[in-house]
Amino acid sequence: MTDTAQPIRAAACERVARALKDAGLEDTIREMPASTRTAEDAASACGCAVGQIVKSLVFRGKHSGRALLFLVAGDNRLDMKAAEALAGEPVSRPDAAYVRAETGFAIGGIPPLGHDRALKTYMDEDLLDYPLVHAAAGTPNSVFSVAPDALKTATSALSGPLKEAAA
Amino acid sequence: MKPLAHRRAGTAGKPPVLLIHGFGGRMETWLNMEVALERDAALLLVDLPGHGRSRDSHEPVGAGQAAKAVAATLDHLGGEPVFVVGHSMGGAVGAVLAMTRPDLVRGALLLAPGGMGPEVDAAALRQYAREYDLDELARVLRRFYAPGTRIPRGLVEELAREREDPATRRAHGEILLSILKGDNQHTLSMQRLGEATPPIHVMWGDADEIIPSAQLANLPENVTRELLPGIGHMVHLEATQAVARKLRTLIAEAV
Repeated sequence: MTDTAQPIRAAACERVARALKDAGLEDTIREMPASTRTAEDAASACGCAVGQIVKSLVFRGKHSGRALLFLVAGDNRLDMKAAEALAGEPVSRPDAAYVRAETGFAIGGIPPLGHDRALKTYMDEDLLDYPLVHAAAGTPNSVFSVAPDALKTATSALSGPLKEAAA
Repeated sequence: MKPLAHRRAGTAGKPPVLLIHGFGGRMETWLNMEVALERDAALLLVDLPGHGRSRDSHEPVGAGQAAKAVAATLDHLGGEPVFVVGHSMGGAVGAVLAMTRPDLVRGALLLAPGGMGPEVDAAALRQYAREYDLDELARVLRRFYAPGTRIPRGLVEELAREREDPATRRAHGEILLSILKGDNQHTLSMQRLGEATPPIHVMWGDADEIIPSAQLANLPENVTRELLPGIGHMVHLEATQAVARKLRTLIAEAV
């Protein structure tokens, strides 16, 4: 490959790239040689703190029936009570088929944007403490980097406390 | 006139925004915009005559008559002027509303609007109107999006289910008779559009295969415009954030 050649990316990454472009964000998608499936994997691949990794967790609103997306800092566990308080409705954990159908992506590579249909999104306020965060770009070995406030704007997310208190 | 089927969303007390879907659509097609604008606007969504939940309550009609039904709905809800976002046929409806009832329109954002020139892919519209074979429908839908855009299977299934009902196909067929003139579409008066008083902005994708973006050149001077590279006919779905940003700007400029 020459320096000018465009790498061929997975179709799932291309969908995230389109969403980044639409949001007016830079295409910072990188496909990694190693897995970025877990927050720890992604942090070591990116050489960043685990807290800078954005976990994209899909739940189902019990009242609205809609898929809801929670963006949680990699070192935090999502507190269900906090999630329900921010979403304003009880939520349940859906199965993988539901997640796939609602987002168009498989668990392990779910990005915070670029879904088949826009998801109502809630963001862990701890993510806003970092200058830059890294999120899955559609596959279990790709990430993109973005300023957290720009990600919040692009996803029309509501931010608030979402982390479980340390045990 | 009876109000159209409608629904409120977004945040009450924020600037009022009316979303008007395109031919063969329904208010649910605005889901992405609804999520994007949730905290910026008091949204009002309608089903145009002959569409969705207005299919049986309102005779299937073209854009001019549909604009009257939209105006009657706004009047019914108190007559507060709104920002209008209209896609395709809904864009033509928004344009007519701005021309005929400027008292109801604070500004209009028209996405790949109908009626701005005669050219249209009539064959694609005819098939889209009545197709309920999943593969065939998925195939014709490809023309509505820029190449490479993924079309969610769930969307194809919903559209097919709607079209399995002969009453839907009949209503769509009636509306097409009002929209099309042979293999062209009826056009609005560019002179009257030029005399419209509300601010009007048009966004069009340069990869639009249904209504060519070259029709931007037909628009009168008072209409501001922008061409979106790599975007097809489904501007609200393919460039949701770009549309939301522009709408926020229009609202900020008007306040």
